[in-house]
This record gives sequence, structure tokens and C-alpha cells, in this order.
Amino acid sequence: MTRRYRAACAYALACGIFLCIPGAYPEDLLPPAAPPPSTPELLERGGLLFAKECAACHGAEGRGDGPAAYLLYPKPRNLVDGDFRIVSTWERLPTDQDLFATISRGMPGSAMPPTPQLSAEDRWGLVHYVKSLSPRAWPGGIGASGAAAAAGNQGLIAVPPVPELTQETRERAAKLFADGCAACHGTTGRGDGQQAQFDSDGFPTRPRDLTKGIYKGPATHESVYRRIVAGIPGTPMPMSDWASGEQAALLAQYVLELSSREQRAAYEPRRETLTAFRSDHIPGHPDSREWQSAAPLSLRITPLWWRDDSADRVTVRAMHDGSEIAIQLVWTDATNDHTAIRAEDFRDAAAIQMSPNTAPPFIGMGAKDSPVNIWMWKSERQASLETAFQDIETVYPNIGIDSYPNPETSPLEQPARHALTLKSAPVFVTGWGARNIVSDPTYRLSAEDLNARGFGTLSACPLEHQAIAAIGRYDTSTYSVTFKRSLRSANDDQLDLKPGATVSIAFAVWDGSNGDRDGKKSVTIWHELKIQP
Amino acid sequence: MCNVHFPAIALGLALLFAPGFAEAGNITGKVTFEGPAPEMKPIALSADASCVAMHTDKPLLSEVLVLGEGQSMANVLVSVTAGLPEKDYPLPSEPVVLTQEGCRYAPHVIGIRVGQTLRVLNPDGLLHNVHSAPKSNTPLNKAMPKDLLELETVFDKQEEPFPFKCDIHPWMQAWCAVFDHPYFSVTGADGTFAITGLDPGDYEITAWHERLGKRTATVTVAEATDANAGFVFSKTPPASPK
Repeated sequence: MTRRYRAACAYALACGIFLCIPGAYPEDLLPPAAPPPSTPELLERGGLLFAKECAACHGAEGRGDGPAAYLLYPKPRNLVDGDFRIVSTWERLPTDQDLFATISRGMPGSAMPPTPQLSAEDRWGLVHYVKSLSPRAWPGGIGASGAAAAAGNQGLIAVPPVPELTQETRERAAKLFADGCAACHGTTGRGDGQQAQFDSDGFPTRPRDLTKGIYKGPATHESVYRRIVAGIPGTPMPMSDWASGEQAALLAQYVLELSSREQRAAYEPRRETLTAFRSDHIPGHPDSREWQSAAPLSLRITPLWWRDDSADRVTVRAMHDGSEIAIQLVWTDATNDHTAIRAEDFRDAAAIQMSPNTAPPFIGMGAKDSPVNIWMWKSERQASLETAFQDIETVYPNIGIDSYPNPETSPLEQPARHALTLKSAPVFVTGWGARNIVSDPTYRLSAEDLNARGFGTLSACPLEHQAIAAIGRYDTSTYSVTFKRSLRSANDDQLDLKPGATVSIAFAVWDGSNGDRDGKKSVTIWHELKIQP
Repeated sequence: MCNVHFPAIALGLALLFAPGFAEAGNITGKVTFEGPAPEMKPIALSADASCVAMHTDKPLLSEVLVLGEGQSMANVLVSVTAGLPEKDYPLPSEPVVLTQEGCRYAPHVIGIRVGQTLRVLNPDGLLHNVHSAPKSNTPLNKAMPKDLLELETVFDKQEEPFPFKCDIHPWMQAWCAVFDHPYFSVTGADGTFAITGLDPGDYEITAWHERLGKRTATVTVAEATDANAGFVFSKTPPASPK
């Protein structure tokens, strides 16, 4: 079996699922001519990579119970006995190519990131390792859609040729859609049919809005055809074997036509390069005119707890003058959340994560042997530095009605920020005494310089090393935040940036009114920052 | 109910092969509900106008608890859970039928044999998806658009009751248990069940209800007689729940 499948793979890859929309899949995500067979070395490599790149969410044993799993929705797959979603066989199990595609391009619509930083061989190592976690009857690498497979409704689901949508066939497809899909996906395809739905683990789920171009599996005719015929195991999306053949082929084309190629490509994040342009004058404010001369880069951001209304892109720019570097983030946010006084309030924020390695560690807070440096701007930190600071009385105007006036100050006199705290000795204000930057009433920066060496290890750099000047501006539903720091740093806990260097960089934004805080945020994948010499 | 036939076949075979040709006996009884009966609420069928149109004369009530006269309980699955000899029981050729009619499953509870065909019908002329959630067997989730009137499936492992649902009409629910023997029965509206064709001996029987759990009893079946076993369910679980 295996040998036959393997031999067939070359053919599948030559004319197969990845090549159907030219340009939709970056070159480095294509599988090699023949998938490497599982060897002890490759399996071991896959195991090491799994521990590095996957275990934080999927768990050390792959049971979907990693320490970061609670932050994610949809939930990370239980790879041992959960239902794999992207399947291409009648038995509703993933082929090696299905697993390779999922690992390579991630799963748009969830927090599962693509892995463009890994070589194809590394990703095959992961495929073999993931398969070794579960004793199910893996179909293996299935190549060409052979006639034998088509005959018995076994093995790989054969895909008929792409039909042309004419007036007549489009009407037929629309009718098939109305009869077979509209009950959940809505007559218009916007996912507005039956909403009260649950996945096999009991988590709420909803039908996809097909007009958005978000595809968990590859957005190709073959792949969509197989999603229709095999369904998506573990979800309400049923197997529509009744449609297999011409009807499902028409439906696949009809569904793909509901979104544009550009929309679909926008959900396929690639590793991009941000250039920090060298200039004599670098901007220090979001409105500085110098930003005009730096080319912007638009990056896809994904909410870790999926929601349809979150910003899906962040625009970044970078400049340096040989001694300082400035990085700007621009993204949309309908609300300016800059107070976090009530228990139910959370504030907006933005962060930059950098690793000196061009082969960066795990995106979620780095690794023990590969630390990450994080610059985080917080809207409420900036607001509280301004004169008219927000306090409990601003949010609850009459809260002080029963309190006794302070005889030492006139009722007309505004108390200064942290007035009472500042009168105390730091040793009695324990957080301040312990030099916690969040508790220090004298801290005058709106950004924090943080470090992490693995998930759950985030900590602040010492107070005396904090030197990131960040300014944020909110206007007409748009945030614009500028970070500035000296390029070089002599401190071990801070990233030393040199002109001419390349480092790995990632971005995150928080939307307070959507409940974002801490690990609940929207993130990019790892990109590159090239500092011009 | 279709499973009435299998014990008859089993009985025939049992007679043929049983040493000494002991004449088989039966277990019959009635399941009742004790305490004030909770009112079953009408289901809002608003998710699908076609379903609403099918129930304009009488509202479709929740089938979580269906009581008959004298608080007799329907939809209780009674089966022999211990005391059976290990052997291959002949498989009925008739399929078990589950119908999706009026946006509800009928019957609400089914028992089926390992390897026996389950035929699912769709006379509604609507899109349903037949979605089972077993733990041991392979889950099924197939779309049945209006033109697909029936589909068939089989189960290859015995299993305790698991739900069937339709994700398009989330109120639709049925329960299915898979057995490797023919000794099970689902109570009808009158609350009665009959497990027939058992060799004389001591058996443990279990009554299962989707919401109220399980009750067990030990029954001695004598030659050619009906052993009687009744079950009483109430909202409070029994002192030593099994």
C-alpha cells in the first residue's frame, strides 16, 4: 500500500491540490516531489519540533491540553483521539498531504499558525510525528485520484475535473446550494442559517461565512470538493456523499465564487520582511511626517480567540538613524479603551516581540534556550500619565459621596496622580518596594520592556533598564502607536540591534472592549526585521 | 417495534441447540414514573419555517419524558446486562428503521444489533443531517437533502445508548444502543416491555432512560414462564445507583 501511495504522490503533487490556484500558495509551502518516508531520524526530528512548535497548545502528548490551550478558540486539536477536520478520504481520515497542508498553511479561522519558518523536510517530520501519536488506521500518502478509489467509495476521494460555471450550471449549483447547504450557511452563503451548533467536544461553533474567503483547508477546487463530500469531522458539517461527482464539483466552484481570490489569499499569511529604513531624522510620534518616507507593510493578524469582527491587519513601518530605531503599528479598533478601573474593563494595547534568531523560537513567548524581548504599549498607562488622569471617581462619579473630605487639601484642589502613594515610603508599598514596574508610582513610560523564555515566563526587565518611549494616538477608529528605543543595548535582557542585522519580529494587539487581556489577543506570525546598514 | 422478531428466531435456535431442550422463558414488565410529572414544553420550531408548518394543529412537545396512562413511561430501554452465555446470536435480516418525520425522530429510542442495518428515512422533503455521537463506533454525519429519501448504516461494536441529532434542527434527538445479543426491548406508550426467548437462569436486567439514568434488577427466569420485573423511575436517583 505504502509504496503504491508514495509512487502516486509524485503525480499528485505535479497536478494536485497545491497547484490549482497559481500564486495562492507560496513556493516554500509546496510539498517536495516525493514525501520523505518516515525514518527514525525524521521521526525524532519531528518529535523535537513538536515539543518546540506545537506542545504549548496541543500538549506534550498531543491531547490538545497544552498550557496555552485555554486561550484558544477554536480549541487545539486532540491529536490522539480527536477528529481531524481536514480529511480527503471516504473513511474521513487525513492523508499525509492533508496533514502537511494543515501544518504548512495553518488553519485560517483559528489560532493554528502556518509554519513558513520550517523547511519542507521539517514539516514532513511533524506529519510523521503527529501520526505516531495516535494508533488510528492512517490512510498514508495517497496520490493520484485513481479509478479504483472512485469505484468503491474507499480511500482517497476522487475529484472530477473543474466544471465551467455557465448561466445554466450556475443556476443548477445555486439550487443545489439552496437544497444542501443553505440551511446552515444561509441562502446568501453568509453563514446566517442555523446558528445554535456545537462541535463534538461540546464547544459552540457556527457555519462559515463563505463570502469572507476563510478556508480551514486549502482554498482549491479539489480541497473544497473534498470538504463537501467528506464533510468536516467533529463539526456539524456533514458528509454529502449524495453530491459526489458532478454535483459536488459544481457546488465547490459555486462556493469558491462567493469570495474572491484576493480575499482568500489574504488569509494565507506568509513570512514577510519589514525593512527599517535608515534616515537622518526618525519619527518620535505617530503623526511625524518622517513616517511618510518609510514603506508600510501590511500584516495579517489573527485573534487567538476567534471572532469575526476583529481587526485582521496591522500596518507596520520601521526607521532608524544609526542610534535609535522607531517602529510604528497602525490598526483599526472601533473603541478607544484606555481605562481599566471597573472589573469588567480591559484596555487596548500593542506589542512587538523580537528574537535575535532568524530561526525564531515558538511564537508564544519563546523558549528556554531562545528568549524573546517584548515591547508593550498600554493605552491606560499612557492615559494615566496625562494631567487629567482617569480615576475611580471618573467612572463612578458619586462613589465618594459618603467619604470624608481630606482636611489638608481644598475641595477645589485636584489631587495629583498617586498623591497618597507618593507620600508613603516604597518599602511599605510592597509592589513598589519590590521594584515592580506596574506598582511604581514614579514610572513615567507608557510602554514596558519585557522578557520571556517560554510560555508562562513573561517578566519585566529591571526598572533601570526600562527605556522604551512609546506614544499612541487614537482617532476615528484607528490606533497608531510609535515605539522608539536605542538600537544598541548593553544589557543581557534586552535585544541588541545593529545596523545591517536581521532579527525575527512579531506583533500583537489587544482590543479591550472585546475582552482582550494578557494572552487573549490578536497576533501575527514571525516575520523578519531587516535593519538597513 | 422491529426487535420483537429477533427473540423469536433466537428462541428457535436456542431450542435447537440448548442442551436438554429446556423451554425458554420471558421477562416482561412495566416501567412507571413516580412523583409529580413535569410538564413537557412545546419546542420552538422557528429555526425552520417548514417544520413550523408541519405542526400547526398541535405543538411538538419535548420527548425527554413521555408518560402514558397511570404515569407509564415510554422510551425506556430494558436489556439483559448479565447472565447471558457468550455465543453468536443469529442476526435479523430486517433493518431497524429510524424516521425523520415532522422534524422529529421516530422512534425516539432504538436498540440495534452489531452488524444489523439501520435504515434512516427522510420523508420530510427537507435537508436533515443524520449525526450520531457514539464513543466506540465510528461517528456518522451525513447530509440528507430533500431528494435523498433513505440511507443505511451499520455499527460494528456494541455500545451504550448514544445520541443521534440533526444540527440543522437542534431539537431533534434520538438515542441508539448497539447490542451483541437480541435481549432488549424499548417500552411503548403503555410502559411495557418484553424480553423473550431466554434460557432458564438468573439474569441482571437494566432499564435506561435518557434523563433519569439506569435502574437494575435481578430476575430468575424459569422454564416456559414469564418472569415479571417492573421499574419505577423518579426524579431522585435510587439510594445505590448502579
